[in-house]
Amino acid sequence: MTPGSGMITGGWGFVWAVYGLTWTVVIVYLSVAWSLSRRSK
Amino acid sequence: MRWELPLTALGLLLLVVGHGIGLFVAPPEAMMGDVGRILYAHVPTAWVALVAYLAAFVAAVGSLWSGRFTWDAAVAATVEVGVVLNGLLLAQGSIWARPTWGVYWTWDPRLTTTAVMFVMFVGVLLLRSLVEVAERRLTVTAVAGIVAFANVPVVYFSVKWWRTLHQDFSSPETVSSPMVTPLRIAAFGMLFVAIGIAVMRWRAIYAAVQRETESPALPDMPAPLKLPEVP
Repeated sequence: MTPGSGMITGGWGFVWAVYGLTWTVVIVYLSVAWSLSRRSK
Repeated sequence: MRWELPLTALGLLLLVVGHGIGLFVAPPEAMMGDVGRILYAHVPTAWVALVAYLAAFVAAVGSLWSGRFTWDAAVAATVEVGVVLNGLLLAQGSIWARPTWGVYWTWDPRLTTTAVMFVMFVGVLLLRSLVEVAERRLTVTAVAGIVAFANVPVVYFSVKWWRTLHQDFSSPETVSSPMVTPLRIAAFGMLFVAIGIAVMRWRAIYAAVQRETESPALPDMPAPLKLPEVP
């Protein structure tokens, strides 16, 4: 936290963790859904 | 070409643009600084998870009303999408909580009701997997889905009904204007991707149910008795 400002500084590691997790889940789930959908044709 | 593919591609594009603006163009949040950028991933996930559960509720009512397996497959697909996004939402929230609240988890009303919502809808999928007869499974899934949905408005209004650490509804009224555009773009992106995945899952689940109901498994029959051959 920056002294006096009240604003949290840094924390990019948490930001990348969230975005990395989000994109991983989206891509993996989409790939599985697409693969199963194609197989069901 | 199946229509969900271009919709999903558009969703991914919007998600890249929304996240890109949120990460590299939007200003840092006044109190949270750069950690506040988690907003553009977390809030769209929350919105779309609730939309998926709402769609599951509508499909469950349609399923009970009509008794048609196309609705039953829609319930299963939308609950599944909701559960995946709900799980992701809890993980995102826990990571965001650490730098802002100092803990990964606290038994706050919004967090607790969201965790309960996750467990209830996982229960719907588990219950569904336990029932072998397709007609009975349709009824069980729909009733369980409707019961589980009762918690969704509680989750949504929990920040109004109780004193909570969690911030208020995120909307253009509560979010500064430079943050609204990336939030909206990411929300539409996540919505389109979720619709695309739900339709893919609906096709696969419906095809499986159709195969099952066209050629139902026969119950185990005793082997026919054979008489000894007479010489």
